[in-house]
Amino acid sequence: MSNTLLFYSDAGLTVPLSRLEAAQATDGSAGAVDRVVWLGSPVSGHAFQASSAPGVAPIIVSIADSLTGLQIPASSIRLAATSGGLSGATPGATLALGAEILSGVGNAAEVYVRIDAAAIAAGVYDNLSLRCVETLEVIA
Amino acid sequence: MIEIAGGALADSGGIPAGVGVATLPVRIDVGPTGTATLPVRISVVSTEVLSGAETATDGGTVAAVWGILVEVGGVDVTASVIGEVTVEAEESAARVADFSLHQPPGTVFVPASWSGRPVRIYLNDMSAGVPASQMLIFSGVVDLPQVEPRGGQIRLRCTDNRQGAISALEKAAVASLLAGSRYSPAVFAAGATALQHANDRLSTLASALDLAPDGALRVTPWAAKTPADLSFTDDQVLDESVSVDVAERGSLINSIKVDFGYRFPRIKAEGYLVSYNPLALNHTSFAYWVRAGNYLLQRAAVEAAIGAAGGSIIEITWINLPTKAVVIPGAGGVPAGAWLPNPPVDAQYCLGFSAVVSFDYAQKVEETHQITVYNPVSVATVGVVSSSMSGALEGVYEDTVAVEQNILLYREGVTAIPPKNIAPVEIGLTNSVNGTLTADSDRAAANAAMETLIAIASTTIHASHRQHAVKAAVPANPALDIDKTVAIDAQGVTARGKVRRVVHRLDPSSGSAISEFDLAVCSIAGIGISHADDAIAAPAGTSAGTTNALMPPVVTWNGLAGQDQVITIEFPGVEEAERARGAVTIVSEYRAAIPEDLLEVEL
Repeated sequence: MSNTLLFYSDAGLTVPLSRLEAAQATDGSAGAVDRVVWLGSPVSGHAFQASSAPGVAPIIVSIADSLTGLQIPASSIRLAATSGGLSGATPGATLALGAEILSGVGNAAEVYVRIDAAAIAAGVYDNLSLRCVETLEVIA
Repeated sequence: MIEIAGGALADSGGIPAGVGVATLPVRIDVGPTGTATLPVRISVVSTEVLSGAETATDGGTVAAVWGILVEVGGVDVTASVIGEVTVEAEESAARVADFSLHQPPGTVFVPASWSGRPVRIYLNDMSAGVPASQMLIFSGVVDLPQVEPRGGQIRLRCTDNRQGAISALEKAAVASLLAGSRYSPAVFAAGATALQHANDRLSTLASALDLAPDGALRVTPWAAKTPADLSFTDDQVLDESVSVDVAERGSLINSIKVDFGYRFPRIKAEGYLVSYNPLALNHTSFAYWVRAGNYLLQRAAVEAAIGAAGGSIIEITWINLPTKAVVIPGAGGVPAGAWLPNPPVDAQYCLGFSAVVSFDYAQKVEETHQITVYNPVSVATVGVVSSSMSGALEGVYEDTVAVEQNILLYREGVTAIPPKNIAPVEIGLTNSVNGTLTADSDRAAANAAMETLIAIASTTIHASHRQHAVKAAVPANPALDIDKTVAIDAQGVTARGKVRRVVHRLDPSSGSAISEFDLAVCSIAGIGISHADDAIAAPAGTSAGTTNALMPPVVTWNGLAGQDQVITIEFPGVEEAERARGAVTIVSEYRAAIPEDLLEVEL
């Protein structure tokens, strides 16, 4: 059995999200792209805890950067637990979601994402990703 | 204490305290570990491509070189695409994509391996020989795979899962998403799903709710923006692709009659002041009244008379008998005797009284609101094209007969528990208060229901007037979407409106790449004509309070010598209009504005 905690595109956790997309302008003039994704699992009766200190350490979502060549920096992304929190979020900072995420629809953690890239050469940039800390899936 | 075999105790002596084994269960949760990751793709393109001013499929003076990228389940299947790829988006509907994939002979089709797989479709600029200016035009999942045995291909119908995305939302999230919308459980079904809830709210809001190509929920007002997001001229618009569909007059609903009934109870009290002084009425004094052999008025008889008439004594003041001896004058001024007070007995009698009396009852009030929502300019231009709708709400309250009994018992002092509602007594008037209703049936709920109906009517009028359509086609443009306002000046048509529908048709084999679009144009009197608009607020209902001046009661007492001592108090009867169901018709009007979009056609 593999860990079932995934990012989803809908609150009903029906469509796992394989990639977050955004379009930006080369001169940096495009408006920020705001999205909300859900981190959860549709199975029932399970819970997810940070494997580093289960039930104690917070589950953290960070912005990973593969850092190869000229890329879009992690500071182009802000994370927040609410829509209103995006404006005040520190660019590139992690987001702590609490010590446990329960499985099931309605228990998923909302992760608000704002993508706002500065001027950069045209291209498709895949160097960034949202990464949740390693979690342990247990019976709730 | 040391435990030893056999449970005996070995200690320094004394009485054994008991035997036991301390245990501590240890639970160790063992489960799979994993790291959820979500790759982020940021496509950086020129401002012109991002805005739609330029597109890979329109090379201007040189041939355009474009390509598509189709991913199914994260795998690039572009090389397998056969024929045309279409992506269709329409206001407040799911975005769908259709395409076919070549499958090698012998491939075994298993439905479960296709349904629900993520799908992405991009348009690329290939003019430099490598993909550039990548623009996402669809993201979603396979909804319906279709195959023919030994056909060598699989046809995929894909959806952006709009229905699923909205259905999964909490109703509070729907309300937050559709800010400015109206809702009333008296108008809409309280048990509706989140999707139906969204549709209900959308019926009160001149906006569309759909998903952007990247899958984000998006609300777009119907009103066209100024300036337009995209402008097309003969340079971009494909030959002979422009057409205009003018809405027929009968569909231009410009007046909607809303009938709304609201029934609720009103608690009433008629207040009377009953004053009676027989000595004053007979212009005599106590001594001569007694000398004449007349009777003294019994307090109990007074109270019984008021009760017999159906009234409740709120307060009463008695004119007491003298507390000192009174000389009874005889003939010629010679005292004939004396009246001596007898306090224990005298307290049962009086020389008169003044009482405040109430009659309490409940009335059912039925307000019929006749609300007309209309657009005056449209009515003046094409005449009245009307429609109608209705609603009703009944205030939830106790049984009115029980309410009346409770008030009576409380007024009579039989119970100390106050009724839920009781009208303060106003002497000489009929006074009333509204019954305290449940939160979903009180005045605020009725107002919310009426405002919701007015909003629906206003939105319906707006919707009917944006049925004019301008249709055209341009080289495929990923920026052209249903959240955009487009201005067009081509082939004799000058118009501006919000995109209602767009279809991207991309056929790599033929090189054809076009975007067909429909503009919703809202027009009735032309650009520059302003429309008056009234803020949506429920019309005022009837008010509780004093309504009716009362005639005074009449007291009759047979208290003279030789009479039967019967006291009768007659109150005016409760007027039928005060007690029977109060039907009130309230008429109001609201003007619903519509925007005027540009639409000119040169013939």
